[in-house]
Amino acid sequence: MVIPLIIFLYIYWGFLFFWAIFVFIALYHMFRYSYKNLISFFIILIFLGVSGFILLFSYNHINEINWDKKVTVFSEVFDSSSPY
Amino acid sequence: MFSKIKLPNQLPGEKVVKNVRRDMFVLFRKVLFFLLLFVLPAGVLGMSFSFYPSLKTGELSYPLIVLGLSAYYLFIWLFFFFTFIDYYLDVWIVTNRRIIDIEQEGFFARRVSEHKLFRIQDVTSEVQGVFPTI
Repeated sequence: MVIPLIIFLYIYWGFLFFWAIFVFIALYHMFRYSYKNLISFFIILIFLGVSGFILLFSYNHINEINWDKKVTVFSEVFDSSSPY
Repeated sequence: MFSKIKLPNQLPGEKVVKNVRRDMFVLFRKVLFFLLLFVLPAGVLGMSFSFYPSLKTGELSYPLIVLGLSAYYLFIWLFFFFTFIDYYLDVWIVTNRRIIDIEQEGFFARRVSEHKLFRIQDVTSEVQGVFPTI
């Protein structure tokens, strides 16, 4: 079976969407309920910084991949010439 | 912006006496667990690459590894942040009039309980287990 590779990227974007919602909820909790002090500020800053680093690192690697390619998966299962 | 303590439904003349959180050791155990989760993919992928070197260059395997690792680390980092929030927002505030227990319960629940100090009659303190004793 031949499938376009970009499907996996779309699934990843879907995942990122849900991740962003949970990030929003987490930040909402911090802004709404935590003490408004320097510790809270730095914690939020570190969280956003590391998240940004992971996203940037991922973006650099994802950019190197040619997503227009089509790949063959389960070739043995869908091989009609195979007796199994 | 830099207020020290946000007191729910503050009574007239009420002053904060103490502000208590769980011991840092509780958070430390969770940090260790998340550190393990952070290094886990390195070990698993290192072993996989040594047995199947073609995984690094495969036209399907490489994109899946990149996307999978990215998703994995983003979620681990997010859950670590939520674990910290759970620790940081759970607080007991003792004032000169009452004791307030604030509990952050997961993503979507938060419970605030309070009890007037003059109503407290019996107090029991119990420590169980090796680490709590230490």
